[in-house]
Amino acid sequence: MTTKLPTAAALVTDERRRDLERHLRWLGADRHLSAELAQEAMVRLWRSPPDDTSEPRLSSWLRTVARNLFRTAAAKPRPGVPLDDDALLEAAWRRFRARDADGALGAALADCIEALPSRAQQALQLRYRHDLTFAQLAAALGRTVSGAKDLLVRIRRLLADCIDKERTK
Amino acid sequence: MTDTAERDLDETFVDLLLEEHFEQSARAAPSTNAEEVHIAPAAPTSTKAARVPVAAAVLLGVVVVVATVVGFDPAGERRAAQDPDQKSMRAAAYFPLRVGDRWRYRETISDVERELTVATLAARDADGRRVVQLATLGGDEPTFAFWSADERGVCRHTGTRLASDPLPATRGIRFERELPGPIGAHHRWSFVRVLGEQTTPGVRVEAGARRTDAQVDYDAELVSVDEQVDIDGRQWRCVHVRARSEDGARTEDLFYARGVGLVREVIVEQGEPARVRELLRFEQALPTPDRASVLDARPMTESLVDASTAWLDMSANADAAWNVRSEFAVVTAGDSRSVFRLFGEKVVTFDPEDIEDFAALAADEGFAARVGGLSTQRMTMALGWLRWRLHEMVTGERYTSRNSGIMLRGGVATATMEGTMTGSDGARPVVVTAELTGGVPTRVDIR
Repeated sequence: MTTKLPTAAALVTDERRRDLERHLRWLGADRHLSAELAQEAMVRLWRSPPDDTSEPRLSSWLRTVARNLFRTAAAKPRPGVPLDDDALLEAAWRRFRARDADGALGAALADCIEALPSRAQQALQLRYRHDLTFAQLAAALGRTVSGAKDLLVRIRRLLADCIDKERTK
Repeated sequence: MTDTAERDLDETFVDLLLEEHFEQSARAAPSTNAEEVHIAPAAPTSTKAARVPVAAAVLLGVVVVVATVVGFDPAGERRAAQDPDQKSMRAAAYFPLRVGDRWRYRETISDVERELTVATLAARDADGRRVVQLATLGGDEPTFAFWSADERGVCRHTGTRLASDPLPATRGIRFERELPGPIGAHHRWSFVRVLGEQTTPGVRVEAGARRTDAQVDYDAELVSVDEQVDIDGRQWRCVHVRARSEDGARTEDLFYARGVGLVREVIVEQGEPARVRELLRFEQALPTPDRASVLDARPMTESLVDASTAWLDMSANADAAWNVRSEFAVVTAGDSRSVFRLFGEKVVTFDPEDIEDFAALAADEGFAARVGGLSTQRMTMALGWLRWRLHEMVTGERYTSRNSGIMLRGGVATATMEGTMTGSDGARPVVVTAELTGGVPTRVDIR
């Protein structure tokens, strides 16, 4: 019996590119940079694929390429993301993706946001939907900048706990 | 990986999920001018807060205009809030005791409806327990009950106070387990209520009535652990408890939802129309922030060199502990001392000699909603206590009380505390006066 090896073209899928873009967003890339770097990583896959193209090694290889590209771009990493620790990044991402099967975390998040007090929802809207800076957010909420930051940290912790609970229901 | 590192990483994923969520919602509902709303500054409300640079900027016109805030669905809020404690059958999961939580109820007696708010206003450590003050507001006068939770269930703090007294008893304390846990492990149990206490739910007490030593024994049974309760088109999955007074004169059907608390209560008493209380809205509070972090967020006007912070002791025995929710820090830097008031996530400067700062405190803490009965007197006394305690902390003088009293006249409560103030230059007689008019402090001074 023979096994047909996938061609490079078959490896370059939209699904992989989207996953890569998401990974880059997590690292700290904005929408445009993540699209650009994901595209670059896919081009490299097209041109010189790794020897082992089985999953999950291929995805891991692609993320490594993407992380190197991100470091080269010298973009600012997301606060809390340990950009210099590949092993930790990879393990954390795999755990996240395993938990997020079929977008479960996004759905849980939506429920959890609805359960927040309206003032907390407003803070999230201002920061994440309307992209207010912390200074603007602080002004809008009548807080100091560090107070606004502290508020968002606490909301995120609350949401992280809530998502865990929603997911295990 | 340590728990802290893992939690930090989890937060980065929440950050990512939030970005994705709001990008999607923005695509689904792009904002238009017609949807614009003004987000008014929520805090500080104190006039002193205008000294805070950021707040000042807000007052000078930096009011951010943003597009509409979508997804504010009260039903959804309640739906999601219903089960924040997973599948836990801990009794405490069915009776949240977080400071700041609020429940809005519709109470119906013989087709007459009114709305009441139950709120957890304060929590203090007493006798090794975290005791939470639960206030019922919107009735004839505010009433208070004291609850705690332990591994064996949710307990009412049984004491010797009047229903309208915001202070718990300091003697003869007893904890009666009204909701034993884990839920399902106990099918029948008993508890005692002392007449004269606020009962939410509980024994009806006439406003202002003095308590007697009478107590009522109750037998309770677990009717169901997963009963559906429909309220205004909203469904709740509830634990159903039925409690009967030993003499059979009173029956209470209580429905608790996980993560939310009491959703429905039906009380039938002989010769009385049934009283039905149903949950209209539950507002879950954010976790209480660490006070040191909140204080760190204050505008740094003082030198940090050699700065030290002293916190006003608000332990359960302090007069103000159950009437004032704000915390107070006295920061000493060099020769100067500054007082800061913390309320939730906000921090403002506080001048104990400025009546406006007391008024701002009362506004933040909803004093007006708590006016009535003993509550008015307690709040007034608490303001006086706050005044001399802060004076002590700022000046280093010591106050000794000799005599105190309170007078109520035409909606004005006046507390007078005569005593002696002792400092490095000797002792002098002083009078601390606090005056509360309709829930607004109109005088708080030392003369």
